[in-house]
Amino acid sequence: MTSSLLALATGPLIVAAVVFSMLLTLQAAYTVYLVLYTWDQPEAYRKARAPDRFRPPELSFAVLLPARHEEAVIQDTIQRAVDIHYPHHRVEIIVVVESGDQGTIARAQERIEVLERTGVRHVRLVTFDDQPINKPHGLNVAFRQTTNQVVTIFDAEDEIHPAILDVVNTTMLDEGVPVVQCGVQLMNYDSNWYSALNVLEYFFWFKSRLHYHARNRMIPLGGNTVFFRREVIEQLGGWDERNLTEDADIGIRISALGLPVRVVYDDRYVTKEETPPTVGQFIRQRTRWSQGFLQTLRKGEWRKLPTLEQRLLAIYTLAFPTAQALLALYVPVSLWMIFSIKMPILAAIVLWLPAYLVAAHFLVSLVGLYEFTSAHGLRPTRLTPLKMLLGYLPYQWLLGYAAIRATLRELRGVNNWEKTAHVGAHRQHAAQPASKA
Amino acid sequence: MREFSHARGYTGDGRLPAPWHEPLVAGLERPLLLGLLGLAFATHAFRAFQYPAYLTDEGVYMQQAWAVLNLARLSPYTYIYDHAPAGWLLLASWVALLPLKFSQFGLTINSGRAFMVVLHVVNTYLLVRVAQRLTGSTLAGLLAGLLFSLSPLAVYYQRMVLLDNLMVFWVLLSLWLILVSERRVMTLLGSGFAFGMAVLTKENALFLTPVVVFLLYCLTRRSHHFRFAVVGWAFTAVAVISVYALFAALKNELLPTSLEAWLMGHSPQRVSLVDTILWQLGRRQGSALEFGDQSPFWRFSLGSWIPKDWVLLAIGTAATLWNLVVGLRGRANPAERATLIAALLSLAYLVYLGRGSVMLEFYVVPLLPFLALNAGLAFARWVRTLPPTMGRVVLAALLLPLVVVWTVKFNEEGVLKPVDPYDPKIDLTGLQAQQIAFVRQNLPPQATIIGDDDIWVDLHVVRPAFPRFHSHFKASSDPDVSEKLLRQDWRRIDYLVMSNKMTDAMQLNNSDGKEDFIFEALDHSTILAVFEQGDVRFEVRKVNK
Repeated sequence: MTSSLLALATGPLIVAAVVFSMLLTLQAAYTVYLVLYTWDQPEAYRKARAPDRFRPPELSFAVLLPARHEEAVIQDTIQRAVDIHYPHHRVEIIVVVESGDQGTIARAQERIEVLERTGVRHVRLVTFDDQPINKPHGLNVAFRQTTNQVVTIFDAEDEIHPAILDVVNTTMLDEGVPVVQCGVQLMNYDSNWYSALNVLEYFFWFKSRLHYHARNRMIPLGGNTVFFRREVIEQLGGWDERNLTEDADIGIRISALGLPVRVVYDDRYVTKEETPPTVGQFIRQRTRWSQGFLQTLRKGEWRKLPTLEQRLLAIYTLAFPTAQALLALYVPVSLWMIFSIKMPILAAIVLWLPAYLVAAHFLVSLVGLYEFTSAHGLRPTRLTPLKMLLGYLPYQWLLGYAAIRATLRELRGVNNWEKTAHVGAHRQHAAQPASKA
Repeated sequence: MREFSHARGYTGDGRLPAPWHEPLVAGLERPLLLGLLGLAFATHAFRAFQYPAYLTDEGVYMQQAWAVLNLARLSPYTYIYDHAPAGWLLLASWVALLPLKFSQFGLTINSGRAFMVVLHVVNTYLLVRVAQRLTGSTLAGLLAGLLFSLSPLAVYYQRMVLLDNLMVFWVLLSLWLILVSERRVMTLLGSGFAFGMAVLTKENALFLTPVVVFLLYCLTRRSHHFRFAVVGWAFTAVAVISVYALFAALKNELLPTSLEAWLMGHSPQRVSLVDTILWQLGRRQGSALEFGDQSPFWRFSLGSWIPKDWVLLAIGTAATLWNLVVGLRGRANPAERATLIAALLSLAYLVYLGRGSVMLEFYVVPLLPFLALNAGLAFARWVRTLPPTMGRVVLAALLLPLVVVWTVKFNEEGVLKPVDPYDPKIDLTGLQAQQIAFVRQNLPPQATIIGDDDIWVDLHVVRPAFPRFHSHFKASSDPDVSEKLLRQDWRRIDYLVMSNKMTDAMQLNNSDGKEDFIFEALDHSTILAVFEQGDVRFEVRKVNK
């Protein structure tokens, strides 16, 4: 009886698997295209570069540094912001901390006092004591404290390039764009088994994929090294304090207004960051991002995007972590089906297709490793590709797990901020090249 | 620098030579190209259904395309991995588009021949574009296309339903995709896909791999996407090719039977992809270094290829050597490097032909576009050094006699007549049509008939069908036919339908005596009908038991 029921179910099961495999293959092929976009389009590659000559400083900047329990790194971060090569009278650095976080407040205050003693007076500490305690709330508080023309955000662990404001000053004035997203790059690719894969995700996201989004006027922005004309933030009414990925959300809202966003990923000027130090931290970070994307999807601001293509791209982008999870989790299932269920050869070949795409993704990552390391003057060890190979599927499963966890949290209405710890691993790397042209 | 209308956006960037200004063709590129494509169609389509006679191999591929469409299998018999299946899968796709399917153009192989004619026009276009992009010279492309479409050797084989013709399409497409936009990764991935398809159509495309990769390397090595270009191309090609191995693995027909025998203690009754590859690699005949009849290279060169057309072979080979010397001397220069690549394409395939494996006379087909390419390149390069008026005179002086030599000849009585492909008196496939008609009218449909693959689809598809008609190859080699059905007993055969020189083919296929019982049937048979013209002869025989 059971076996005959199973036999009855086999036909529809195979048909469903074939259809699912084909959809997943198309999705994965599209993702490969997005990953390779900059390398595929000579024009995009050229546009990704920072200007070779900088204009004289003209725009005034507010550098917002939201921090929470960042005692270990906040002083370095403030110093990095102070070290930016831009006239101090045109820059305002605002460290924003929740008033209960006394450790970070004390360390920040300490550094500000040291700086003031040396005549550096453009750094301020701002605190807030109302709910919710999260980054977008901090940003809104800090934004209200400044009148400078351009507002930017750096996270506490960021290693900021000293010429970054020159890059943005020149780009905004030359091209008249109201929003500029510059590159953010994880650097510690050899710290642990998953760090290279994590680093490469950032590499492809900022160097390639965001250019595709910018060209199509539908872009989820990054959380830092993003620069807004203040009128844009005023028009939008600030950041969404209930969203776990306020950066993606504000990007969608800017796209809905039809405002152009310029993406600059120039290996010389990226903001350097670190991968989460533990698997637990990594999962929490990914869960927050995936859930934030789902929140943004549910919020529906993307419906205001002018064209159908943009709306579809928004849905695809915001649901992407979930789709990626499906691919990772589906490959073992499809292989199991091929070997345990009798099916036509053609169906079995179609069920293999997602595995080909996973192999393609891996190979793209491997090539990306050498692109990344040569761009930053690094040299991977011979073991790095092997580590990537062994860690590749487990890493995809981690992403899949985080995406599922995010979906469950969203369905249960749990949306507290799971913070990522920062230990400053990337700051052990070589000093940034000073490359002001 | 004047830019050609068809090369808009391409201004030469140091990777490829910039377009030449060629007074001989300036302003005429489009009409000349259209004229050439018309000529390509005319030379290949004219009497393509009458000449040459249908070949066994054409019948095999049509038969396998029929199995794809009607049985959802790669062959009506046991598929033994003798060739990868992309060729007849493409053929089946073409037939599926025809309203009357296999019967669209009369006898069934004509559906395939019509496809070959269409494909030749596409191949000519691709060859022109490849030559043009490679050298910057439209004249080189047009000349290459002209030689490719007019050579009697090309006209003879390129009408036939051969995997080689399909493989040439994929190789030219792969080259064109590299050249058309080497700045984009996606077209390079497309090129890798096309090259993978070329290998899956006919495996000897593998011999061209180093040259295609060299071209890719030359064009991308200094670009920002070099790593993705090379790795992406290779991955796509390997991924496509690997589907073949995957197919075999899923059918449990990948690993050698000897391995399974060793592991399991008994020899399995199945075919094996690895076994077939090893068998193919182990088949040796004399290489080109051994001059004489034992080398198929010289046997076919002297016996078939040179008699059909020595001109393209001679000027193509001379141009290849010339381009090799020029290319090696100045390989740092994009224009010289292009000639080197063209020469290497010819040489790579010559290495395949001359290396001393078993081959058939139509294996020359993939060499032809490369010989034409080299001749076109060398010729255009030389003409460029002449003043325009002199160039026109030289072109006319060389091309006109060539066209005459390739289209008319004196017969044995000293009378001027068209060359064989265009001679209305030579209707070889008509003999096969008569043979089929005779079988239909005079033989009982349930009779067991042994014949050749050239008429297999006609006798199985068109009613009345002859389901017990088998080719002597399958009747001797496929255990399902030779042992289960015929039990190697000549008395089980009722009729023999003999194709031209079928006894020679049976002889060649009989090294292990598996055709002996068919020879016995032949010995016990009497002629019912003969259809012949010149030295081409088809028979229908009854086996007397």
